[in-house]
This record gives sequence, structure tokens and C-alpha cells, in this order.
Amino acid sequence: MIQPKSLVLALAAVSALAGGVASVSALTPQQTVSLRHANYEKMGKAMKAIGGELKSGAPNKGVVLANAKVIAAVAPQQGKLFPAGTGPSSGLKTDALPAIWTDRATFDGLNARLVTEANKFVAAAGTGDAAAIGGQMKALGGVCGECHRKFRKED
Amino acid sequence: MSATDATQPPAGKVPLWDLPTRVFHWALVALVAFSWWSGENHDMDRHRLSGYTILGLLVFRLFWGFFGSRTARFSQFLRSPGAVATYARGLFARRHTPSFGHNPMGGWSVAALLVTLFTMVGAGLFAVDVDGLESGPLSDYVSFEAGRQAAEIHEATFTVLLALIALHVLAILYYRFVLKTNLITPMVTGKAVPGEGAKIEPVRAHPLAALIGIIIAAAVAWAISRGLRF
Ligand code: HEC
Ligand code: HEM
Repeated sequence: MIQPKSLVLALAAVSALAGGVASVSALTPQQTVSLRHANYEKMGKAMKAIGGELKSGAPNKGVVLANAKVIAAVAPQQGKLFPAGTGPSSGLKTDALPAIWTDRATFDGLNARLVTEANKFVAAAGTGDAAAIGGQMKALGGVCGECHRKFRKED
Repeated sequence: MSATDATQPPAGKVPLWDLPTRVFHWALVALVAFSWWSGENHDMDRHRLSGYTILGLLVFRLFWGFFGSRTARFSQFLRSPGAVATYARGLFARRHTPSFGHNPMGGWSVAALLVTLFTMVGAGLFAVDVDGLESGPLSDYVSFEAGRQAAEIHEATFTVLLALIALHVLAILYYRFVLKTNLITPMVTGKAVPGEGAKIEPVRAHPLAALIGIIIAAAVAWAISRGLRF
């Protein structure tokens, strides 16, 4: 990432305080891209942490629940972080594909599913049951993967 | 090696590659192809399984490079830069100085392939996909960012691997059609008619050494596949 970590973190904090929506319109395109990257990184980190718990065979309920909540908190913000002018033609460093802006309905649909699955995941995490957590983890991860295949440039 | 061995006249086909080296080679070809396919198709359970098997093969080959038969040993086929340069000049002048075992250039190509394959497998063990869903067994020991970095190395290394394989196959075709030397059949049957002037050395694989190598390789691959959790 080109942006200094501290700026990204400050932006994330600001957006969290301001409830996300209000602050987004005030961000420059570069800041918007940095923020959505930072948010996705947070979700990725949380997914990995949960995966690690599942691999151990006896997942720690506290760790799983805390990370599930991170994903559920971040997920609803992401759809708003793709305003016009933040795609690849903006010249900014982004893996977002132009299809996001030509097929917005599909993109928004996937974002909505992300929120639904993330909330279900918090519920599953609350049970502490490894099988339930594992099953919902696959469903949630499936949405991440589906959207990445459709709307993110393959790295 | 005694002088009498080296000066015996070539009498038909003699053993060139031992069985473990040949099994290693062709199993590797099949598994590299399978890893490519399963990786591209995100069939991660099978991609990991194939990778662990490749890891086992590589560990075995490392062991075999020290305890295998004559032509399989690193000490026999990693030659000085001078020897490589002399050989290369002859090669491009279409003069083939027969080698018994890897020729001075081929030996380094083997080393490059092995190092690249180790890098490939090593990076894969730590890699995490962008969804944070699929990962190598050692990724639990590193951060998400480091895991993503490993995934990028895994991908970049594959390009290098494909280039080396292409070079490898091209070299074999050059031998076959320009130098009229068949390298493929010996890698299958293990036997070859030594080229004129080639120094023949006995190729004998020790079954006990092979067994020890297989046990070490299987143990290492198994332990790493478990993420070193027992
Ligand atoms: C609705 C579509 C969509 C969904 C659902 C989605 N992503 Fe993404 N993700 C994207 C896009 C588009 C990008 C590329 C953003 C860019 O480069 O500007 C991306 C990028 C990322 C990145 C890389 C960020 C960077 O720094 O380059 C990570 C990590 C990530 N996503 C994780 C996740 C995880 C984990 C989930 C599920 C919990 C998920 N995403 C769900 C669309 C999605
Ligand atoms: C996935 C593709 C391949 C990989 C990764 C690969 C890798 C290797 C490696 C590591 C060796 C050294 C073997 C050892 O000494 O233990 C080797 C040697 C050899 N390979 Fe391959 N190989 C591939 C494809 C092929 C193909 C398609 C052919 C035949 C057309 C071939 C023919 C040979 C031959 C003849 C040798 C001996 C070369 C010599 O005399 O120096 N390989 N290969």
C-alpha cells in the first residue's frame, strides 16, 4: 500500500465515528480507495484469524466472535466506497474492475449478500459450535470469492 | 572410481538413472501439471494435497542428492563455471561431448528447477488467498499481509518455473534433433548406450538408503501438512 498506515487508520477511525456515510462524500478519490482497501484488509485479517481457530480443531469462541463482529461492522460500509471516479480509469492504484460501474445492480446485490452472510456468521459464532461456524464461514467466504471473481482484477 | 572402470569399452546399454530418480522425475511432471490445473481452478483441497506430495518428492530428492547413486548426486553434477563454459561452447558449435549422467549445463538446470520448486512450495505453505478463506498450513504463523505477500511470490515463481521447464524441454529437443541424442528414453528405462568417450560409472541405488530417504521425506511432508501441530 502506498498510503502511510497511520493515515489509513485515522480515516478508518473518522469514518467509524461519523457513521461512515456522512464522511465518505468528504473524502478525495484517493482517500476513498485507501479506506476501502483498509476495510477489506480488516475483513481478510478477520477471516484468516477465524480460519486459524477452525484449523486448531477447538475454536476459541471469544476470538471467533470478535472477528465475526469486525466483518459484520465493516461489510455495510463497503458498497458506498465505490463512487464514480474511483475506478481504474481514475489512475489510482486499484484492482476494482470497470464492471462495478456498468453492472451496479449485481455489485450491490453481492454487497447486500455480504451483509446478510456476515450477520448470520455473528449468530453462528455466538453458538460456539465448530461445525456451524465452519459451515457459515464457507457461505461467507463464498460471497467474497464470487465478488472478487466478477469485480476484482485477478492478481 | 578406478581407472579400469572408466576405460571399459561401451558394451550396449548400461544403467544410467536409478529407479528412485526416475520415479521422482515423472511423478514430479505429473504433479506439477496437476498443481497447475487445480490451482487455476481453485480446487484448493487437492491443490494442497498435490503440493504436499511435491514437497515430499523434493525432500527425497535433496536426500538422494547426497546418498543416491552416482549420477543422482549433486557432487557429481554440479560442475565448475569453467567446465560449464567449455561445454556450452562445444554445444553451440554442435559438437556434443557425451556425458555420463547430467552434462555440465544440465546439472545446473536441475539445480535451478529444484530451487525454484522449493521456492514455489515454500511460498505456497505460507500463502493466503484474498478472501482469507484458503491458506497454506504454515500461514497461521504469519500475518494476513505476509500471507498475501507469500501468495504473490507463489504466483511470480510459477512464471519462473514455466520458463525453466520450457528451457528444459527445448534443450532436450535440441539434443534429440540437432545432436541426435535421445535423453528421454533413458529417463524412462534407466538405461542408455554410453556416448563415445563418456566415462562410465556404476549406477547403483542402495535400497536401504532409498527407504531412509522415503521415511524422512514422508515425515517432513506430513508434519508440514499438519502445520506443525501434533
Ligand atoms: C461486492 C463485492 C465484494 C465482496 C462481497 C467482497 N469484496 Fe473484497 N474486494 C472487492 C473489490 C472490488 C476489491 C478491489 C478493491 C480495489 O482494489 O480498489 C476487493 C479487494 C479486497 C482485498 C484487497 C484489498 C487491497 O488492499 O488491495 C481484500 C483483502 C478483500 N477484498 C477481502 C474481502 C473479504 C475477506 C471479503 C468477504 C468477507 C470480501 N473481500 C468481499 C469486492 C468485494
Ligand atoms: C513439469 C515439467 C517438468 C519438470 C518440473 C521437470 C523437472 C526435471 C528435474 C528436476 C530433472 C532432474 C531429475 C533428477 O536428476 O533428479 C529433470 C531431468 C530430466 N527431464 Fe524433466 N521435467 C519436466 C518435464 C520434462 C519433460 C516433458 C521431459 C521430456 C520431454 C523431460 C525430460 C527430462 C530428461 C531427459 C531429464 C534428464 C536431463 C539430463 O540428462 O540432464 N522433463 N527434469
